Formats: sequence, C-alpha cells, structure tokens
Amino acid sequence: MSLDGVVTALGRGGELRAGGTDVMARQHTGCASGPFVDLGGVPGMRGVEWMPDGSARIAAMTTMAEVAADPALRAAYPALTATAERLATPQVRAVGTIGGNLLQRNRCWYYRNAGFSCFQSGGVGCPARDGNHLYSAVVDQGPCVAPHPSSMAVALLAHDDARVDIHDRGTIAVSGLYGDGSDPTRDHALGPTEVLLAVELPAPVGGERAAYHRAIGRAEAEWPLVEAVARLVVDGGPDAAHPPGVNQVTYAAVAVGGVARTPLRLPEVEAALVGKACTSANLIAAAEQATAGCTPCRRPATRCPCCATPCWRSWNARRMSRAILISMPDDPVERILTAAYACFTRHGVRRTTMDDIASAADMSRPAVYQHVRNKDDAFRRLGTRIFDAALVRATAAAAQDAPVAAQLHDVVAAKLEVTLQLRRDSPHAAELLDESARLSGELVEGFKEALLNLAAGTILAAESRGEVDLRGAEATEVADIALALVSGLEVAIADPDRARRQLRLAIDLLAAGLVER
Amino acid sequence: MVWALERAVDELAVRLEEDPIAMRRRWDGNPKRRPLYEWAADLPVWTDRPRPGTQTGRFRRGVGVAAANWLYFLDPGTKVELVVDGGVVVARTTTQDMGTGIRSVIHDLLRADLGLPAERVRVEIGRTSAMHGPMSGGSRTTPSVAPAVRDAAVRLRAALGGPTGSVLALLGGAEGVRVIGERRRDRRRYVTPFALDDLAIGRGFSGAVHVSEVEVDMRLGKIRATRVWGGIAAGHIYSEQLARSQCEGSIVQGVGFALYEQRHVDPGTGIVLTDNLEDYRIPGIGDTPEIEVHFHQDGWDHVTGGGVGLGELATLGVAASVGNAVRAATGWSPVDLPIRPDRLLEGTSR
Repeated sequence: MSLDGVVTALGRGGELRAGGTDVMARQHTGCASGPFVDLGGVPGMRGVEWMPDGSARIAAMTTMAEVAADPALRAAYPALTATAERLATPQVRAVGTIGGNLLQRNRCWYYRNAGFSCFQSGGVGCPARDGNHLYSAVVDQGPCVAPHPSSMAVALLAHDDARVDIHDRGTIAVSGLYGDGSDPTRDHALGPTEVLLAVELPAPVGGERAAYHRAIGRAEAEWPLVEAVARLVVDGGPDAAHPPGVNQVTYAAVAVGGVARTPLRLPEVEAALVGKACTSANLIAAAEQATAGCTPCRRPATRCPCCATPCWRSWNARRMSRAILISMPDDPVERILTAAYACFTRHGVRRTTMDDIASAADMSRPAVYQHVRNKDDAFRRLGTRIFDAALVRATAAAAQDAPVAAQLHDVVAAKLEVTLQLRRDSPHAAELLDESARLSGELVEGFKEALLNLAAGTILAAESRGEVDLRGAEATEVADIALALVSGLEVAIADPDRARRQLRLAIDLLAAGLVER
Repeated sequence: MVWALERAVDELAVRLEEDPIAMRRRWDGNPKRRPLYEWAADLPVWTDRPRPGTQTGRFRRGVGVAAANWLYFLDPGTKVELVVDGGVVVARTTTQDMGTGIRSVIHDLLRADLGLPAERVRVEIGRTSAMHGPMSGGSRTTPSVAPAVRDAAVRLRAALGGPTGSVLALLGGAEGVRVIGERRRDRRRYVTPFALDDLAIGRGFSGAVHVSEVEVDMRLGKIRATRVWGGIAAGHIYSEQLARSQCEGSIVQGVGFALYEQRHVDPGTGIVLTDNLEDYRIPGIGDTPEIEVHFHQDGWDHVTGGGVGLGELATLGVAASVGNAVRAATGWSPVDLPIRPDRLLEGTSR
C-alpha cells in the first residue's frame, strides 16, 4: 500500500498500526476497536539515512532492535541507542518501531480497564487522580495523571533540535509532538489521519558521554517508574593526562520520563552542571535540582489509599533525582579502577576481593564483572594505567626544550615519582612494584624498557645537537646508569624530597661528565 | 502467617544477637527439620554471610533463612485400577493433573515396579467414572495415589503368576486382567479419629528450610534474589525430577510473593486494576535466582510409601527467607508484602 492509500484508509476511520505491540494489547482490553491500517507494506519507511552535514534521519518503521544495533547510530547518538536497547523486552524491540514507540498510548490501568471511563477513553474525568495512583505522574501538568510511556521520546527530547517529520505537515520539534500535557484526551499531538514518517536528529556532538537509566522493580520487562537520559560533553575527556574529577562540563542535556504527562527536559539540572567540574559531588548537587517541578500528592498522606506516609508520588520524585544521578554519564571502567586502587592501597592485592571493589565503586558485582574480568585483570589494568600516565609525563619531558641534564632527569624521575606516590598512598606499595610479583612483573619490565628507550633517545638527540660527547659509550648504557641511579635511590627512601634532590644531583653529575668541554 | 512468624523469629534472633539457624534449631519441636538446619548451617553462603550492619555501599548482600511446616494430608480411600488392554497396562483413577505431575508419578512408578517400557504404560485420569482418587491440592495427591499405584502393581504381578523382573513378556497373554490397588492405612493410623472418605490428617509435620541470598540496591530500592536453597523433609521422593522441578517453581513463586505480586483495586469501586500479567507482576526469567534443592528423605517410616506431599511446603517459607535476607542486608525490617522499591527506600531512609 502507498502512503496516500494509508492516509485515505485512515480517513475512513480506523487506527494506524506499526509494530502492533501496543495496538494489539489495547484491542485485547477493549481500548482499541480498529479497523487497523498497517504501515508495514509502505515502501521507504525503514532504515537510517545520513545527511551530508552528519545528521541522521531514521524512518518511522525502523525497529527498536535495528536502532539499538546500528553501529553508526551508536557512535553518533549514544543516548538514543542506549535507550533503544534497554526498553521493553527483546521480543518487543524486534517488532516495535521507533515511530510506534513515540506514538504509543499511556499505560494507565484505569484507561486500559474496560470498567472505567476517562478523558483518554473519550469520557470525562480522571479516576486515577483520586483513585489508586501508585504509578501516576509526579509533575502535575493537566487533568490526566498518566505518565507518558515513550522511552524514545525522552531520548529524543535530550537532543536539541531533534525533529519528527509528519506527512503533509513537515517537520516539527519533538517537544511539539507532546505539547505541555494540558490536553488530557491524547498522548501526542497528531490528528487521526496524520502519519509520522521519520525522526530527524541534528548533527552529532563530538566527545559526548551519554547514559540511559530506567528504574524498575524487576530485572526486565517493566514500565519504568522513572527513566532518565543524560548527555554530557566534558572538556578533555577521561584519559591518562586528564584524571577524572578536574574536567569541566561544557554541555549537558538531561531528560526524564515516566513522571509527567509528557517527557521532560530538566533545565535546572543542566544549568547546575554546565561550567562545573565533573565530580560526583557536583553531579549529586545537580541531580537534587530534579525535584524542582514535582507536585506532592493531592490527598493528605493519612488518607491516601495506596500508600501510607510519605506518599508514593513524592517518593517517586525523590527517586527521580536519584535515578538521574546514576544515569549521569560516567566511565564505569574508570570508576572500577579508581575503586580498585583504593582497595589495593588499603588492603593489599591479596586481601582485596571483587566484593570490596564493587562496594567501593558503588556498583553491583555483576556490573563490575561486565567491565573487569577478575581481580588480576583489575590489577593489571590499574598497573597499565599508572605506568601509562607516568610514560606520558616522561615523553613530554623528553620532548621539552631544555638542556640534556633536565631532560634526562625528568624522564627517569617519572619512575621515582610513581614509586613515591605508591609509597605515600599505601603500605602495600612494595607488592605493586615488586618485579618478581606474579602479576606486575611484566608491566614493570615494560615500563622500565620504555623509560630506557626514552632516556637513550634524549641522549642521542643531545649528541646529534652536539651538546654531549659520549666518547664511544652507548646511549643505552648511559640511560641504564641513570635508571640504576633511580633504582638505587628507591631501595631505601626515608625522605621523598631528599631522594628527589639526590636524583637531581646525580643526573647533573652524570650529564656534566658528558657535556663537551 | 509463615511470613509473619518467620520474620518475627528472625527479628528475635537479631535482637538477641543469636545465629538465626541455631536459635531455630534450639526452639524447633519438629525433628524432621533438625537435619535441614544442619544442612543449612553448613552451606557456604550461610557460613560466609556478611554480618549485619557491616555493609555501607550502595549494593548490599544479605542472607536470610526461614523454616516452614505443613500438615500431612491424604485421601485414605484412594484406589487405582490397572487393566491390561492390548498389551498395555492402563492405570485409572479419578485424580486430576493440572500440571502438578501426578500423571508422571503414576507412569514412572508403574514402569519401575513392573519393568515396562514407556509405551506399555498408559495413565487415564480426570474421569469421574474411574476408581476414587483424591483431588489435586493440599499436598495430598502423591502420598495418596503413589502407595495405591504400588499396591496395584504388586497385585497385578500376583495376578500374572508372580514373576520376578519385567512382566513385559506376560502382557500379551493377560488381556483383560484387572486389579485394584488400595492406599493401605498408615502404621500409626491418623490424627483424624474417623475416616472421612476423602480427607485425613496423618501423623507428623513435613518441614522445610529455605536460605535466600539477596542483593539490595539501596539507592533505587531494587531487590534481587540472587541464590536460593530449598531443603525439604517430606520423606521418600517418588519422582525426583518432578519433585525438584516443583520445588524450584515454588521458589520462583515465593520470590514473587516476597518482591512483586500484589493485587490492586480501585478504592472507589473495588474493580481489580491488576487484571493482567503486565500490571500484576510475577518474576520473569531475569528475576529467577540460582536454585538448589535438597531432599531429606528419612523420618516417615510410619507412612505407607514413606513419603508425604511437598507442594505447599516448598513455597511457604521462601518469602520470609527473602524478607529476612533483606533485613540482614539493610538493617531494616520489612513488614508488608511485597517488598516494593518504595517501601524499601522509605524504610531504609528512616
């Protein structure tokens, strides 16, 4: 059938059916009587189209599973794909479409019960407002209190300038699709013969960190009590040169669903994030802003039929802020390794368990195992991270424009600094540094070799500049002596500053012997 | 009731700073549960459980225990008829199988006792014209039917001339042979003084001990039952695979009682709002814990057949053990079922 045919058929009465996961369920409970007009046979309604400016157009009949699995979408719009892969169940995602998800009807158990009449089913009044409102909206926007069911709407709303293409109307903003929630008779703004053709996303934001989280009681297959999408751009990004905690949030977009008649953007939370350092304290402070728009239950708590004090609805608001907090984009590996470092330095490697690491990272054990295979793996990766960071410093030192003595000193001092830092942080430092230790031996060897090469490189460069005269000695021999100096100093460190002074003196003497007279 | 009782016992143990299993062992008058307590106390999950109040992070682990009793019900008038029909042994009685498995129990017992291949045994149940059998419910079906089946098998063997080993070779010449097996009376009779035709209460209580491990997300109030052990003392297990499967299903159901199942009605009209499996929540595959079932089969020598029912028994204590595990993980004592996220957050935020 062509699109015009679909529109003509809809004009004669009936309802549009995409994946059918919502429509058919409503037909079973008497909320939808048909006839149904299938969109499945219309050509060109499926797939992703990429524009020259990098933006994307996702056709309405693209299934949630296809959206979730598309690698290009995943790279460009991680918040969107993260949402698509967590909603509903694998079965529903395989047939449910992005258009259908955006235009599905709400889950209110009064609306879907044939024993009640309400605004949504063509009647007057909202039985949920004074009835059992366990899962009702916490932000009061209008006469109806059913939360909006679409997760994809939340994800799209978190993208500035995301639009939907409506047949015969052109594109409108996603927020325009849902309005302000004051109309209690509908879940979206489309007329009975209007067809949503596609979703249009703006060009992706570089370096975005995104997360989606839904708060549900069971493991899967439940409508969220609250769901949140957060997208952050953090200046610098997490890498060895930029340890977490000092990076500044330059862009934030936070949206929530399951709490109001429409999906909501949370400008208060975004404002509390932008310009701040991306620290957990700042994230918590920002998340607390989420409850700003929440309205408490209308009934006095003692009379509320579904809940004793405090009312579920105000509780739900609290939960909302918490859920957003944990959906804040965060690098789980970074979190686990930071926690692992804290545990190893406190208890030593042998006495640390994965439980300790999970609890220090504030994550569940299964979640930790998703990112780190086991304790040994955590240890190795932690070691790699520490040594890599030191190597970054050493490489920068080798490249600086300075006399060879300063260059050489800064390169080998990177090793001394690692030792000093570990000694300062932990009584178990020896274990981590011990070359004969089962796990770290290889890492330490690799680290020393890289430093040796760097040091030799600076000496060779100095020789080619005519700054030093090796007098027949190999550059690696000299570098070896410099590193041996460090190792010697590391054997018994009483006073870190004294060790630093001694190293500087030793390297100065070594370099002085090489400088051409 | 088990929820209230077993939560209360655990609460006492916590306040007396006693091991909940040791305390139950000291108090419990049911000797069949002693070995179960010993089994539970030796489980690594129990010996290595986190001490109450030692956890501070977002995700906390807790291990809880609960015990349960159930009456030994039976239908003393149960009869099973065996007829050789076309070389197949056909068993008939009026009992029903709603998925509880008595059809398989009868089939398996006859095959084992008579040494027959599967296609030579047929079970015809659920018809009122047959010999009297029990209703399916109240943990009475297997302890009523199984002894009658075995009695019938003995009688059939005698009617075929009393051979040892398989009777397969004799079935061809035994067309129309018909015997009726009865549920012989227990050695120590029954608690009920006179025989109601279809219900008696036998002597002794069956016993169960469940140990549950949960992980609680203190921030979002979500509780996950991660592992559950079920120890059942119901005497001889007639069909191990079925019994195990039933006990596993019981644990899944018990987790549902503890965490999800709740019937909501509209306060104004009384109309049930949770009239579908989307709003009425039961555990899904992701909510199913790792399950281990242990049978203690001694202690029922006075019972004909040596075993009693376990349907109720296997479910009763599970919710309380989950509740006790939540108590151990969080320090908060849940009172209402199910332990919804809002209730947990409200309770733990005090």
